[in-house]
Amino acid sequence: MTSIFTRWIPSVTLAVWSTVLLGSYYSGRLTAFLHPSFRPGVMVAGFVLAALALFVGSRETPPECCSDASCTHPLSRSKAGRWITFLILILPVSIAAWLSPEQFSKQAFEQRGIATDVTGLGPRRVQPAGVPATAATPPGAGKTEKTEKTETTEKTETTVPQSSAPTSKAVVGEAASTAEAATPAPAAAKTEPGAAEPLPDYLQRTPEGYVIVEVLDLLYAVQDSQLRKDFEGRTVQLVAQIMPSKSATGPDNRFKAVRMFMTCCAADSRPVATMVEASPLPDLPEMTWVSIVGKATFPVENGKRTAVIISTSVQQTKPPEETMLF
Amino acid sequence: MTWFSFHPGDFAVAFLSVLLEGIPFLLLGSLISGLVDAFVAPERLARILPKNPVAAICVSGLLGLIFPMCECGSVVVIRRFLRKGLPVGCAVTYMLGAPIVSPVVALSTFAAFKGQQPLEMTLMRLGIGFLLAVAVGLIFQKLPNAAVLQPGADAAGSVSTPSRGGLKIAPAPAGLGEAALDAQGDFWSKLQRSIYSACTDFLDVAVFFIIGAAITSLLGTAVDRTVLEPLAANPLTAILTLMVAAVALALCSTTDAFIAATSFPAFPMTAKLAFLLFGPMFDLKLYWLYGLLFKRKAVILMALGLFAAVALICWRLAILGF
Repeated sequence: MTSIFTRWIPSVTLAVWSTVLLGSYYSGRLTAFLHPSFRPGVMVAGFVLAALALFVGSRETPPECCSDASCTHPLSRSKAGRWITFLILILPVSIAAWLSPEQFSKQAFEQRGIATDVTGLGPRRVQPAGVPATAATPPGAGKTEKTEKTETTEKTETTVPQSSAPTSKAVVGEAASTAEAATPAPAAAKTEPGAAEPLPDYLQRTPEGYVIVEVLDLLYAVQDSQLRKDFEGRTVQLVAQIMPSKSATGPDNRFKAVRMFMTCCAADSRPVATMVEASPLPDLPEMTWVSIVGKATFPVENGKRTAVIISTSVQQTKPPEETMLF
Repeated sequence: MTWFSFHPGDFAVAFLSVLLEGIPFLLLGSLISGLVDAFVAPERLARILPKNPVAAICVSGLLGLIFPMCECGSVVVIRRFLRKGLPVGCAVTYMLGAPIVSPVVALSTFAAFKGQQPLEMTLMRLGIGFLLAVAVGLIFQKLPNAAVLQPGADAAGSVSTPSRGGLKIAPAPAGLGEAALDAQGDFWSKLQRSIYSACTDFLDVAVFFIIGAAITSLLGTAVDRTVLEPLAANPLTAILTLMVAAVALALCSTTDAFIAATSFPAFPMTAKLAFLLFGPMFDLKLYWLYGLLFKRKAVILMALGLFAAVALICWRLAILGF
């Protein structure tokens, strides 16, 4: 009986944990739960746990080893306690890994409060849809618009590689077919009617010519005049989930395009949204993933600049490979 | 929508993400703990620490700078060191200090608060965190081990122990002394022993980590956070609110600064500082993990003391205009 507790149960437990970690990693489900910087650790831990499971299961525990119940926690000092411990170690994680959806419900979005500006989001850390990671100036930096513009331009020139990844990987299905083929806009096609400036090299376009953006791009553009110039008036494509606007003061033909913004893991993520104007409003259930095509605008409403896409098309699409923004 | 509404799917997403984020760190701590168990004799610990007890505790508070460890990992490591005879004051100081006074935390705090007084926030977090850890360590040093530690948490026979400048370095349990370790065989034998110890530690601590993660995920997904916003207007309620939030959210200290900087835009800097000071020292999962080492009463008293100290310090800073 002793070998069950000192050899087989620990081995099985470690093997189950290893399976959960490696399964999450290699199935791609991990993308819904963790920031990319934490993912390699999960893979390494999965392999280490597998090795430990094999090691512990392959031989009898030495008698002098600390796995003797005298130096473990009180639960492990009785037979019933050891079984309870085993169940706590095995069941919750297995059930969660098996049954967990890959994204939060509408309730979680609402409970966490949907941010529609980046004042509370801090500096950008990771490069999103073709926009340089360092392009946006952190809010509250107290810099003048002129300083922001100069710094942004310099960083754009020095930090964005030609092959910088756009959202292409993050889009699946109909939107993916366009986004995967996205390339930096050719120099000859850089000026778009209605846009104030030629299209900067770092922005990516779909084959139809739409500039690929993420919710965060537009929110940071509200704060950053250089980014705003790059997007304003252009026809953009955005993949997001739809939620009602619920604004008492704004026009009634608007909805929110929402994405979850993750700092470390899904538990700490919070929703961010930009407004979309559509006539008529799309007849789709809340939280549906849509591909929105429309003109990026940044009107001042109630004394505050905001981002609004005047949409020409809102089509249901599959969730992106990375449902979270970073 | 009510302030509390349980959604099983959201709970599962949050629970799994906390586990997936924390388990690699827990495993790392367990592996280090196993190596300590097999390769480090208590006598060596005694030689590392300064003779003066206060100096030893202060050094323990700074060890995170060269031996960084998040709070989950540090509990496992300290558990092993206590069994090796590390004085409880030093152990508590390292346990509370390492998750804050570390280069990883300094860099992440500075980066997260870029544009929001990053240098001040980083220095205050590390400075006040160090002082609090040392203060708690000094208090624990004055208390008898039997009053604060779980039975078996420290080295056996710690009463009649060799002393080094007032610090009692307990003799190792039978078979764990320097000579015994040396006599235990070759490197491979010791490595095997360290692996067994690491597995035991990992499974021991993982149980409580799971319980803590479950409670944290429940609160994190079921409670409507927007109800907190009115509390941000008053400095004291803002500080207390974010400290409670830190307990409930149970974030990792290496990354919690990004949450503090971004998730509570309405709250003042002092409240965010309180969040960053108190969270790594005490939260729901730590309550369970600390229970492996300390008696529940000691854990609760330590938590209340830290809560009061952090709240008062941050409130004072708010009055001073930070």
